[in-house]
Amino acid sequence: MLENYLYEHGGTWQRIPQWCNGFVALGQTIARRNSDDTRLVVGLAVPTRAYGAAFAAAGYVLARAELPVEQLDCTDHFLRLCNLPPQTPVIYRENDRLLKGTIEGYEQHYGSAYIVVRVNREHAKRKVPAFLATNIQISGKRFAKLPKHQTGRVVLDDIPLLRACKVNLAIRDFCLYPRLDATIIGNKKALLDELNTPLAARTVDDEFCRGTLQDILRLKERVTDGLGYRTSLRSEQGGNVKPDANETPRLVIFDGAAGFLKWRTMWRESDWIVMLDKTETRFEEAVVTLNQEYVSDRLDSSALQFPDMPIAVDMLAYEEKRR
Amino acid sequence: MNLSQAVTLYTLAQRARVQIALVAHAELKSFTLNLRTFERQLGEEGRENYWRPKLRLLKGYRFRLCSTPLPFDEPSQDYKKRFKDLYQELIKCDRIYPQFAEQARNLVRQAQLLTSASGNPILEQIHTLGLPDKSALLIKESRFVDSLEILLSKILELRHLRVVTAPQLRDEEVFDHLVIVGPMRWFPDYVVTAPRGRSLLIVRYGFLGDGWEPRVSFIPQKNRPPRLPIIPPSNEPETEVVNADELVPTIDWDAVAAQMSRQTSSDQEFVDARLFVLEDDKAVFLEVDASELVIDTRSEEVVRRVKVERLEPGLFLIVRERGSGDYIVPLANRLLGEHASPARETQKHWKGELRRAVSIKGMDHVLNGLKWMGARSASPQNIRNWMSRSDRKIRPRYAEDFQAIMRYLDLLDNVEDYWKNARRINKAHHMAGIRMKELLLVEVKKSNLGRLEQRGHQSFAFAEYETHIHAYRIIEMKPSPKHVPLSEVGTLLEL
Repeated sequence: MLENYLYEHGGTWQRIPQWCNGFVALGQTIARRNSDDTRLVVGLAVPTRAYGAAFAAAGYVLARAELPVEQLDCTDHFLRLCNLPPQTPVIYRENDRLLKGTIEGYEQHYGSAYIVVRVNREHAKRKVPAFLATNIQISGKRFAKLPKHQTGRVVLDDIPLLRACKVNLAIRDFCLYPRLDATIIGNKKALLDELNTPLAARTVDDEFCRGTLQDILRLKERVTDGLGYRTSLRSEQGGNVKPDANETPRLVIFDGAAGFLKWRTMWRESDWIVMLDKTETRFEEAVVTLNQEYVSDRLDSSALQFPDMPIAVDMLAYEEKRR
Repeated sequence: MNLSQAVTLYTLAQRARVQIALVAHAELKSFTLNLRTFERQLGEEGRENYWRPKLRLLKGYRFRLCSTPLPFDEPSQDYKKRFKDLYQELIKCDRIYPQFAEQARNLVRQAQLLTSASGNPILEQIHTLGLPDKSALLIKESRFVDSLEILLSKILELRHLRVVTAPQLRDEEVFDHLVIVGPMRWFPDYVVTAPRGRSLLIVRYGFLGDGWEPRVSFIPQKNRPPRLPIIPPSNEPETEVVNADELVPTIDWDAVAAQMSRQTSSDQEFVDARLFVLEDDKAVFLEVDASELVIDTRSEEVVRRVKVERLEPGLFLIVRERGSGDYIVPLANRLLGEHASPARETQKHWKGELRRAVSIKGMDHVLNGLKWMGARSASPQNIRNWMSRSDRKIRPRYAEDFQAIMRYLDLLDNVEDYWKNARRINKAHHMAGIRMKELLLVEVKKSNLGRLEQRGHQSFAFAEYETHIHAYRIIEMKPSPKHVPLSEVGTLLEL
């Protein structure tokens, strides 16, 4: 999938190593597994936790990207917007631009209903008909105040680096439509550093493209409000790392023993990758815990097929009943 | 860690090789075996107060010789004098333990002979290897780092060698050659399973049995990795072998507890606390429901507060010197300024009155009285907290509980002043905690965390606040809490 990707090493571009592709292939395998009744748990003991979760998530997201994002039903979404309290912050996509706005209410004209979105302080409003309601996304942020005038932020609907990966995906949809595929729970700072690692690749047209892992992972916390995201990141030290009831990821990656030991009682609806660094203080405790879960919860019937992992990686995989 | 560094670590984990070199030393072997035999013969009696410190000294020396490439006569631990004193003590042993006296004295004589020998067999073996520039010696005990570094700096052919301890091998730094001094069983698995050296060489005494296997692994491994190639030693293994685990000094929890019970007096306040063993043979009791400031070198939040129940080995615990109490108090007093003294006095007053009421009337009587006066949170545990001498237990959470206490103690005229003072202290402690965290963070950013990992402890001085604190790595903790005097909580103990 990312075999032709390059990373910077000593001032030159080198192919990303085989072990990175091993994690990508693992993510891909988990994404293509199809079972509503069972969930998959994969434990990995690695010589360093660095980049394992990031590449596994990349494989997972890219494999899932081949599946279309379930589009919101215009009428349902329109009704939901109509029921929002006035001043609810939203992002309104108008042609190729994103505008900040607030819901003003709804109006009827000649038998048709419209959602009214205010887009600046000068009372400029947009009346959006039901069939365009999906252009309005509820914003996760609260705007202190709307801009006096706004031309809006241009929607980037192309990611050059993605054109080089061997996946059949609609890049525009990937950029525009959100869907939470995976959540990573770990050391936030370390993971963000890894996601900013410069990568490059040549497209089929021999174009040399640069980017980062963030281009693939589309981390919710780093994506422009109103655009498509695919993953989210939670700090293992966070006070509240519970899943969001409205948006449960299909895959959770515990990037490190501490996050796994602390938060494993939650996230039981999702598949798991438990990435354990052999040098971590709580490595042994985490392995013992995972072994106990294996003994008590595994289903014997599964016949799982996995890609070859690097020699230095120990792996445990089992299925259990989805709760 | 960047991707290039991660690539290096994966490459090492796949390609590193392990060699073993065995070293012989007849006198040390004899001392090791004789000490083991003597300990077995003592049996349960070895746990008695008479033998415990003696055995501890002998075993400590044996472990030092087997685990660290320092000369046998290296003077830093003053073993010569300690063994001389021990021998003197054992002269009277005939009257108490006639059956063990001669054997014990023989052992000490053997130890004395070793302390007079200038040999350093492990280092001599390392010397022959001709290790290149990027090489390091991994030793088990942080406290010998300084002595070993000084020794190496005096040897031209070895002065380039780095001295490291296992926690340092969690970082991205890698070595061409990593010499592991002692059996692998003494080190965490990751030294071999996630190696930081292109070539690992285990140098140990041949009379120590190792038989290393990883401590834990997944039950069914989808791809069981091949073990790193281990090249066996060229010389014949020795016949009589001591299990390496037997040599590692263990923590005598009972001894620490006994030390504690000697220091108690009848009017002391007791709390539930857990015992933590720290680097450099230190220990500390921490109250179970408290939280403590730690340095976590591997976390995104390097300095943070952690509940005692969540403290774990590897974290660096912040403590003050023995006898100087909580490090927050001087800072809080500084913040309180002129209010410090009167505020502390009023605290002492009402808490003292409450303690007096409990000691005269009994807990049940006070509990019912407080409830009657409207204390909605009154319970035996809360009353114990309210009347506590602990600097961390300042006041009840709710004003109505405080009012009830004041009413019960007939101090209602002062309720507003006392409540204001208690809140003032509370706020000052809170601010002092934040300030200490900030100060420590600044110091930690300035300091070399690799050095902290290597030595396992470090001191930090805050002259402005006349405060001197220490960070000690947590080695182990006693699983169950113990009832200990409040005055001993948070202060450093020598093991």
